[in-house]
Amino acid sequence: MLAQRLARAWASRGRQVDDLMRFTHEGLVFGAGSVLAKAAGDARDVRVDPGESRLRTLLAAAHLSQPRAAALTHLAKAADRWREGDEGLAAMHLALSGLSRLARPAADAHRLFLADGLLKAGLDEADVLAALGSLTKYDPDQPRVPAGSGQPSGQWTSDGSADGSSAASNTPAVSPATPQVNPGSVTPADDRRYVPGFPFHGEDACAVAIDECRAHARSYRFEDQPPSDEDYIAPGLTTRIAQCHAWALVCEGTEALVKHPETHVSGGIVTFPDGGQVIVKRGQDPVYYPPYWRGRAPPIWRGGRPLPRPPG
Amino acid sequence: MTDDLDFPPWDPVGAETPAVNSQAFANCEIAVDALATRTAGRVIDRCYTESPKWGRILRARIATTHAGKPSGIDMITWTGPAAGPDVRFATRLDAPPW
Repeated sequence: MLAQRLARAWASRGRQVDDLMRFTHEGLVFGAGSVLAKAAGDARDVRVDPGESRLRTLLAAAHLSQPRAAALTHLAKAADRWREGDEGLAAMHLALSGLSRLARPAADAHRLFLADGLLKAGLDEADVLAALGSLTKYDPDQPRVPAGSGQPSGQWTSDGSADGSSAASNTPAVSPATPQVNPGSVTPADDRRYVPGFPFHGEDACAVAIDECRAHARSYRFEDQPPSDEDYIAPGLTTRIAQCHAWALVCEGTEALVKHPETHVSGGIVTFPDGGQVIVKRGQDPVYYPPYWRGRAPPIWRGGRPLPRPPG
Repeated sequence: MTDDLDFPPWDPVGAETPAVNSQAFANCEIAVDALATRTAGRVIDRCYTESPKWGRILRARIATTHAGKPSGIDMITWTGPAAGPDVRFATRLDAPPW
């Protein structure tokens, strides 16, 4: 009966499979909408307990291997950053966990969905893991609770000490060697001003690029694009403005990736839809290059007002 | 980055050889996944190659939406020819040019 109910629920689910783990209004969601950690009221109030057996069981079902302690710690940090409103760092910790992507999305999401359904139906985590059986890869490096520790021995534990102390703990196992970004330590933007048509060096490079992108979207002529219903006043304008705004996420995400030491990203180049570029290098201020920098025609320029060329 | 505006071509060229996804691309994968998550997108294509000039190259396409319309981000991540964990990346809009 339960198997049939789950099969029907899977067949009638209203969501597509998403191969990436994400924070949504429901909480931390994975696969076909399976909630790994539920939001408590406020969508931002998501907490991940690395020692929670339900979470570990669901991840084992999704990936067919037991999640490592360091990976679970990254998920806990991702939830911490999400609660603080830092979506960039939250996304980075999800990626750094190595658990955030399904290798075989359809099959993995289905298995996760079934495991979630079994747990909701009242099965123990141990029973679900047993049902996964030989599918789950054995990891000889995974720490276990030793005999004589006062807890059931042989079970997986979430820290490297293998003394079992964290198996029932609600405290995330944060490695002291793992650097964390303190949002309060971010240097405020300086008062350098952008001169249109010239490169801009400074922490506001992304903001300058977005403003310029919007300005170009309004000023370029787009005679080759037919008008659509939603932007009959200026053909293509709303789409172009939306692209500029979408590129804000890309630019800010690039900055966050380069600044974060755990990503090993030392540089990023963001080409905006208007041809402007932002170059981000580790340890340096980002730089915005307008489309006409070095006398180059913007690679995707289609007419409109020419931008001033730099001297020389 | 030897040249501020220099990065691998958006499409593989003759000097590149196909490669298989391996641990050697792990930091490239992290960058791709982080940007996909950040932009509420989904990685729909990955292409792994190697080149003497750029090292290991992962080209990815991220499907997302702009103003409710399907759109995408082209992303190139590369390691550089020297051994080391650092990667760099470049992005552009995967859409008809303005």
